[in-house]
Amino acid sequence: MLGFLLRRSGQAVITIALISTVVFLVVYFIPGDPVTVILGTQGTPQEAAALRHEFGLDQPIYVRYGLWLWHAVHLDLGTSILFSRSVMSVIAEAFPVTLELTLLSMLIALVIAIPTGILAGVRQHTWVDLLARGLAFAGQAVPGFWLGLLLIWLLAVQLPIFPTFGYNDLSAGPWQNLRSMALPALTLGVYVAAPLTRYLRAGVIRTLGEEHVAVARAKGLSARQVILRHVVRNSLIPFVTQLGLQLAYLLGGAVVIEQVFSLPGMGQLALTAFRSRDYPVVQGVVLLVAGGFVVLNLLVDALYSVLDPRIRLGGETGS
Amino acid sequence: MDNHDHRTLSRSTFLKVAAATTAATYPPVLLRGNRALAAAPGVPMGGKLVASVSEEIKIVDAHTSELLTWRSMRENIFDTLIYADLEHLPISLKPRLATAWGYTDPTTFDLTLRTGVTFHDGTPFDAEDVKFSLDRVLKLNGYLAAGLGQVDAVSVLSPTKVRLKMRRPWAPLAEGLARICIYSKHATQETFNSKPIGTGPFRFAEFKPGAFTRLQRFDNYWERGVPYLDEIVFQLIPEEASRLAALESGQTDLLIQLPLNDAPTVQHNPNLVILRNAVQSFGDIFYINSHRKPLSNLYARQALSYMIDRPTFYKVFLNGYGYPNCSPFAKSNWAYYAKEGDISRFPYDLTRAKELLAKAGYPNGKGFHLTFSLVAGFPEWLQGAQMLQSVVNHIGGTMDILTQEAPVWVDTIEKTFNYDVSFDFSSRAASDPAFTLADKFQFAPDGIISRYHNPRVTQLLAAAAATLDRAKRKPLYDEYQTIWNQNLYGMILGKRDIVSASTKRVGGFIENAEQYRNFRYTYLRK
Repeated sequence: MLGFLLRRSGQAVITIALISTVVFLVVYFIPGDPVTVILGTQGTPQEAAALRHEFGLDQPIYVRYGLWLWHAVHLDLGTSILFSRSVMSVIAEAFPVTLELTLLSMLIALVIAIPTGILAGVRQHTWVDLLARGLAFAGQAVPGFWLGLLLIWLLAVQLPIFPTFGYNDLSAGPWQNLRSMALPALTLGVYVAAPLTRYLRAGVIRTLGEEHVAVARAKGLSARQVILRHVVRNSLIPFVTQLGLQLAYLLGGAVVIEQVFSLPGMGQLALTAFRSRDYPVVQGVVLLVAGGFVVLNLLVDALYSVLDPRIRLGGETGS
Repeated sequence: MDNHDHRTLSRSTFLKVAAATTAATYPPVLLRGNRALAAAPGVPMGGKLVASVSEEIKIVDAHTSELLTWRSMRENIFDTLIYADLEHLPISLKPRLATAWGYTDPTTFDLTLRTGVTFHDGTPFDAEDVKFSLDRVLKLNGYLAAGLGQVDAVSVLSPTKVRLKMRRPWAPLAEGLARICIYSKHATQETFNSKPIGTGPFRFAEFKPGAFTRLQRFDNYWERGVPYLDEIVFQLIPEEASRLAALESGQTDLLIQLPLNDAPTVQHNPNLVILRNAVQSFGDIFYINSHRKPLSNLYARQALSYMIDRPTFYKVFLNGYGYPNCSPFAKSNWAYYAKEGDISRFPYDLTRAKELLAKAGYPNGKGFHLTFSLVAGFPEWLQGAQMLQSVVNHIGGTMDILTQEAPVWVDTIEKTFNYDVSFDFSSRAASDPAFTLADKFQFAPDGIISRYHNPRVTQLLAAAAATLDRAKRKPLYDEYQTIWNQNLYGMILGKRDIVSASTKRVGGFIENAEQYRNFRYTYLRK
């Protein structure tokens, strides 16, 4: 176990370092810089030069990267050019919004996907299965921004139940907080539920055909006991993999949904930072997202051995 | 470069003209903002106005940035010395932190400052703050410094008097001062970058990145009785459909800068109000890359101007919120020259366009290829470009449309020049003509964007800016507009309205032609 953790930690550090270097280079070589964004077409060359000097943008790339790396290792991600605040504080404000949206969306997705996926797998080729698959395809095919706008129009404009935009944190009260997150979480939850449903359905169908299930039925266990004890748990490996991927993706910020609902989360922050060429924030967000992906992958791998005792950490299966 | 002869203007004549000019631009409209009007019966006090914006709010230095969203905020956080009223016709200059101003001789401009003014941090305002702010603008030598023209020294005569000395007379100085926000002499880098402190009617209260900026009423504002509102929240809602939904549901009160192709939706909603500027100062312009083929050829540029269906652009793509014209100046500008500005100067005429293309070496449009660079986010510009593309194709040429994000587009326009035509806004069409298109075409002998150099134009503009007598300036600008249309280093399409939308609760708000939205007299009906 310790060896596994050490090995994976080493891989994580190398992965994150490589990703941050690639992103740094990509953003550096894209045309435009933050001074271009601030001054637009109205700045003079002298103004632009003065601002570039102030932001350290006139230094060679290797100096800029070296300085950034040195500070990052000391957990100082620098100062946002756009917001004139520390990158850590800017991310610290945005991350809880995205975290809450992620958790609520995943909760909605699981509430939809688990019973639907199991039922569809157990009742394969019936109207239940057809309906579940149809809904899953629709959930993935319908663009998130369209669904979000439709929900706003229906449930915030026509029937003013929910707000049309914005985020109320918990200091505004739990009910106001949940109201502000309901529509975006529902929009995202439907989208995430679609592949989870399909993966679970496929897993259930595959497991139902296995010998141990036939043995369980032959022993006289009820259908409910067979499904809950023997089928579901053995169907979860691909489901958990997909769950981990979706979770990691959401933690990086669902850009489109945050834009539609004006949520000041990581997605919005990343988009704004990239558009404004706010290099320190871009780098900070990339570091956080890359780190999140790596940690979640580690947790998913660890969860495999819990779900299936035959799997040992490190990829070997037990005899 | 400057052939203006100062000896032809006597001092007494100069001072008479200066007094007359100051009076003409300082009409007795001071009633707006005095106690009597501010306390007008029926105007409710208090309330929080929520105004939605679609661009990320950036708190930036008021001496360097003219970002449109920031303009609406800084107009209320800061005061300028003089206020250029771009909300009413005729356009006028009104007192703000300066109560009187004028030339004491052709190169000396004195200002008398208002007393009893304090900054939001409680420190008193005086002449040293003015000197600090103007010196800073001169040192930064940016866009705002151009407004100060020939000023090279600012001196304090007393706590309420400031003197500006110029190298040469500079006619638009008063209007140049109208753009410069006054900071306290105690301002720090933090004040400039993130925590603005001014003397305006609202103080900066809170900024949440990606969410909103909140301004609070400044109770010690020098103009008693205003502002009426307790708070203004500039709420970021990036998605236009969401902004409209928020307004329709009443969650926001004001939608700043309504996209003109959404105007019909608001017009048909009985609960919403369109707020349209009375003065048009913004317009649409084509940048022309005259340093490469095909538009290095004058006939090719002229042909292009006849290919643009200006009336259709404004009628169809902007829903009638604007008008076509061929002059850098708005019709309301005293410098406007109808002979060159009227649409009849360049009607939509494909026969003429083909003839000119043939003269340029592109018979039947063969070999005529344009690269049209477009900044993303302006659907009417994309529609205009597509309209032009269909015309170019029709006459035998070809055109590519490149849609680029803003920083890439700026790079294209200012650095790589890998384009033939591009859309942009033109501004200050209603301002003093010395400022119209100045930032894009006049900054240097080779203008930043156009990169043209016309000695006669440089001479005309310098002479006109150094002449205080409007009757003498007018023919100079007439000639400038004539040369503009003869050479077409930039192509004017017309002038557009700035339009916002509000619920019926909002009163007292007037849209500003240059987007310096003034919330001093805005109120919320109960």
